[in-house]
Amino acid sequence: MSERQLSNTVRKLRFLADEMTQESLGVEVGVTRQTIAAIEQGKYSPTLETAFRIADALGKDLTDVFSWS
Amino acid sequence: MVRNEQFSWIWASTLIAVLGPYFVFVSVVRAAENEPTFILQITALAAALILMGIVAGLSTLIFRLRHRDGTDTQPDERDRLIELRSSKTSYYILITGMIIVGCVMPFDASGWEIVNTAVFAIAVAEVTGCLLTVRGYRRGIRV
Repeated sequence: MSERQLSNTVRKLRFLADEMTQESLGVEVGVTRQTIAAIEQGKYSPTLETAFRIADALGKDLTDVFSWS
Repeated sequence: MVRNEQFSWIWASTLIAVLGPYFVFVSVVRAAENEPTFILQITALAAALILMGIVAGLSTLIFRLRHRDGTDTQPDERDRLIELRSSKTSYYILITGMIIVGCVMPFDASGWEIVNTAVFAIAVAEVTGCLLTVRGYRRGIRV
């Protein structure tokens, strides 16, 4: 199995999206603020559905938000 | 800190703080008198369970009052995953304890020994579940 880690640019894209807060992104996506924080810190890999919702809320494609590092 | 994590901390601490002294007390009495009286055993167990019930009730009430607006109260996918992982491990510990209590101990142990071992198995399973929940929130969890 691959040892590659999934990384994301949620934090950067949030600030580019008019400094969107973790709380408002969480509300839009349907998860808690703590889950958004955990995703940003790489402590939790979201489900595919949530990953698509996050990308959609940030106005980006999935691969712009999540990628292998 | 999310509600589940806070509750896990409180519940694990309560179990250790209340049932720890209970088991020490039972062991000391058993060592001293060989077999504690029924009244002594039932009083000690009832006191421990009532104390735990009060802590659980009070913490639930405090959480409800603090999160009256509804934020952070609905579990999301991360909460459910952490809960699933911790309860799975907790279940295996509990089932092992129950097999010992129900299938092995009846052949050579007294009634209160079986009761106390059952309570101990439940406590160990609960504490493990709580600590795994805390670990899931602190150190992260992956699918």
